[in-house]
Amino acid sequence: MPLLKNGEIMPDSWTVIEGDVPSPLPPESVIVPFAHLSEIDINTISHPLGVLFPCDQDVDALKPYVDRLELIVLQFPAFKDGRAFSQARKIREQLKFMGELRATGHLLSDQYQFLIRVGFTTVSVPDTANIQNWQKAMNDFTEAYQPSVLGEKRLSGLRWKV
Amino acid sequence: MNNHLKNPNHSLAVGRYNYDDIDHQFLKERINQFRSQITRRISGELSEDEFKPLRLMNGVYLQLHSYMLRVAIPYGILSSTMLRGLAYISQYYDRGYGHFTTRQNIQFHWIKLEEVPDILTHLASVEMHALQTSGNCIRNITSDEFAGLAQDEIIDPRVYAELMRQWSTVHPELTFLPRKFKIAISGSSNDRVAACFYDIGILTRLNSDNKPVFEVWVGGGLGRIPVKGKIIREDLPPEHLLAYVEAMIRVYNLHGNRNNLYKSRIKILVEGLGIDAYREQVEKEFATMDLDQYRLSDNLVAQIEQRFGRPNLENHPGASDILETHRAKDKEFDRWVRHNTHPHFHSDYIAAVVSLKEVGQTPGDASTEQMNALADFADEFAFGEIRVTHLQNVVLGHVQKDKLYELWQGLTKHRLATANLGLVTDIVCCPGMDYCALANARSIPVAKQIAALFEDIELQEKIGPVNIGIDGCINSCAHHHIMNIGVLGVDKKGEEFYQIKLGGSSYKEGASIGSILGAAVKAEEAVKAIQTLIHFYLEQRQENEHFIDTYRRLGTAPFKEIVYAVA
Amino acid sequence: MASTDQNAQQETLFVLTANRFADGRVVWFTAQRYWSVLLEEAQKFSSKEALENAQEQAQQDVAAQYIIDLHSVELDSNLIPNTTREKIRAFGPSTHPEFNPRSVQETMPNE
Repeated sequence: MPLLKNGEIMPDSWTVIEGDVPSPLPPESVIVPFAHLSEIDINTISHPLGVLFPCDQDVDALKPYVDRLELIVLQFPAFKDGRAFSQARKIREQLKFMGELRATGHLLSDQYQFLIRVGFTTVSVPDTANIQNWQKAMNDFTEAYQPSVLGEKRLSGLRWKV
Repeated sequence: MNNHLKNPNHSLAVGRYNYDDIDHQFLKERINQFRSQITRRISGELSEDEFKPLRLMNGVYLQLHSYMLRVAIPYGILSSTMLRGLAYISQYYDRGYGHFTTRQNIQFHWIKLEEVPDILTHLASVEMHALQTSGNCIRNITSDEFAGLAQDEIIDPRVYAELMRQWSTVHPELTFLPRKFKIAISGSSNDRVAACFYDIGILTRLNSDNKPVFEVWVGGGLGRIPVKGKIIREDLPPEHLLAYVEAMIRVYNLHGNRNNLYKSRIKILVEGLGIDAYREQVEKEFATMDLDQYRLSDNLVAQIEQRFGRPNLENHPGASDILETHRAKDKEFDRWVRHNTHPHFHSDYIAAVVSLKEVGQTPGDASTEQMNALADFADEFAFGEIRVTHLQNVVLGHVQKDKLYELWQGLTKHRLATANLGLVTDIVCCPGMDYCALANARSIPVAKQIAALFEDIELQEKIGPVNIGIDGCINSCAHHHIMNIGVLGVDKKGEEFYQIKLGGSSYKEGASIGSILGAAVKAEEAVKAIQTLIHFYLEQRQENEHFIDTYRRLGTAPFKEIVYAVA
Repeated sequence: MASTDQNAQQETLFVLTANRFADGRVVWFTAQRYWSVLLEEAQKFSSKEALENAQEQAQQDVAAQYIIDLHSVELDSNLIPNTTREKIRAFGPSTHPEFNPRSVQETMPNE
């Protein structure tokens, strides 16, 4: 599945580990399911570590790990399921996570600006996705009625420049 | 079309937020986005399942005969320019009428999808939109129809409704909620918005320091499972309104049920957790938020307030006396004044309620010609401002008392002077199965038949205040659960049946959910049953009892007996 | 509703209907393979197989984004839909007899 960052396709250097986590971890950037994160001694790892976090859990559970993680992947089981939008914002604003925040699942290009504004940096889009539409969608709106995690410029009143 | 620009004497439209370039730019971008979504749907890139939520969030439904466009009327306020814009759409893109809803919106029932972007462009030119009038997002925020003129008002709720409207517009975090989300706000502690039956309902009161604070209700709602909401916060400082409401909705976004359509409203979450546990989660969220980001500072509130036009109210000595003289001379006018007006804080002005419930007409419908006439009356008599009520009528809010007679004479010519506000023929009614794809039965014909039985105004006055709501399905757009008499259409093998409920009441003090009277019956029998109920009440009532009082004193049993005895 | 009379066992007739995507109008599948706004022009099917065959064909028009909400409707002996809902779809809102599709002249938006 293509990975989008700032509207451009980029190589995905992460390997997803499904199910049980091998010990020691392979010497590469790996994404492990959150349920297995506790099995890893995060103080001994030498390569970048990412986590796949479920959409039905409280992101506060990431607190003990957040400093050692370089990537958090959040899931959209359906594009109408907006839980990960709130999770992303909490991860950025409350856990102060500075690494890569990736969206995966069923998403529409129309949601790209939403994703970016709540703190996602990358989106894993389906193979069939029309990348041009995703690029275009980055500029759908030039202003918004809410501040975002990006710290955009306030125009006036409740309006921000996107 | 150019008469849209007719806006006498005032540079800012009265009673509502006036757009600036930024707001116009935003709407333009949104319309372009929707236009391209339609193109992607036609090309097959978007499936119907993907397109449907997108069109809904732009106010477009597919109904039985056509698409329907639901246009938002924020806090129920229209300028004459906006109303003329709506009249134009009804004439050129629809079939000569529009339907005002119980959420202070207007619906057009004969819309063509391919024309929607053009209609939206036209709406934008009069500072209107159809954003978030459907879909699982924050819907049009409703308010008190007497906002800004009521004597008991503490703050003008429209300014706060506007702040919430802007903040909730295409909110990136809160646009894909488990289910729709409805907010109502009143600037008074007297509930005129049915606050306890909203996802979030907000009333205003003074705290011990005499400062305005919000009393916040959560988890009320109608539909399949009617629930009276609970108070989550009694004393929310207005400056934290956005932060607190966002915390409330964030908890719901994260934890609301997404598997079962019927359990996905916030009321189910609040009932499930219990109000205390839900409050705890909200407070925890609130405590972690950067409140400065959300603060409604005096400066920010003032910025929004400055975009609201104010009526230039002046003293008119003798205006009240002139009104009294007209009332004494004209009995019909006097009757209309008794039923269809509401006091204004300025003693030389009065609010006039225009009934859209003439017997024989569809409740809440207004023709192109009536919309244009109302816009003209608003310009002439009410500073160009029109208010849509949650009971499907229209208010001209600031009428000089000495001009009221002239207004009434004008309204009469357009069949807009029916003197039945709050009476038995002031029926609230959803479009029902004549239009709506969700409906199980028709509601408009039933409303018309009931109204016809009580056409005699003296009989209506004898009966006194009673409200009737008729719904074609359990979604309860016509609020049948909280009406004194509620009628619910149900489907039995393709045939229409109607269930009757008694004892509902909408407002904070004494708010109650009606009880089912008995088995559902056919339309003719339901209409007859309502006639029987009303006559039984007239026989049984004591002194000055209203229908609801007699019902509460006697209980359901005798009403049930009288209706079902014969059958 | 009439009770079943053994001697006058009437065959049940079905028609296919949908809403036109562009304007949402109610349309009926005809023997000539076009979609008419008039129920009386609809092709009537007496067998399940014939109905299913036609439904398969009509499905192509769903795929082509010409119609949505394709479904079949059962008719009574007067060739009128059995349910109130489908009667209203066929003849327009009961509150506006002038909107019966027979009386309304409309062009498609892009014509």
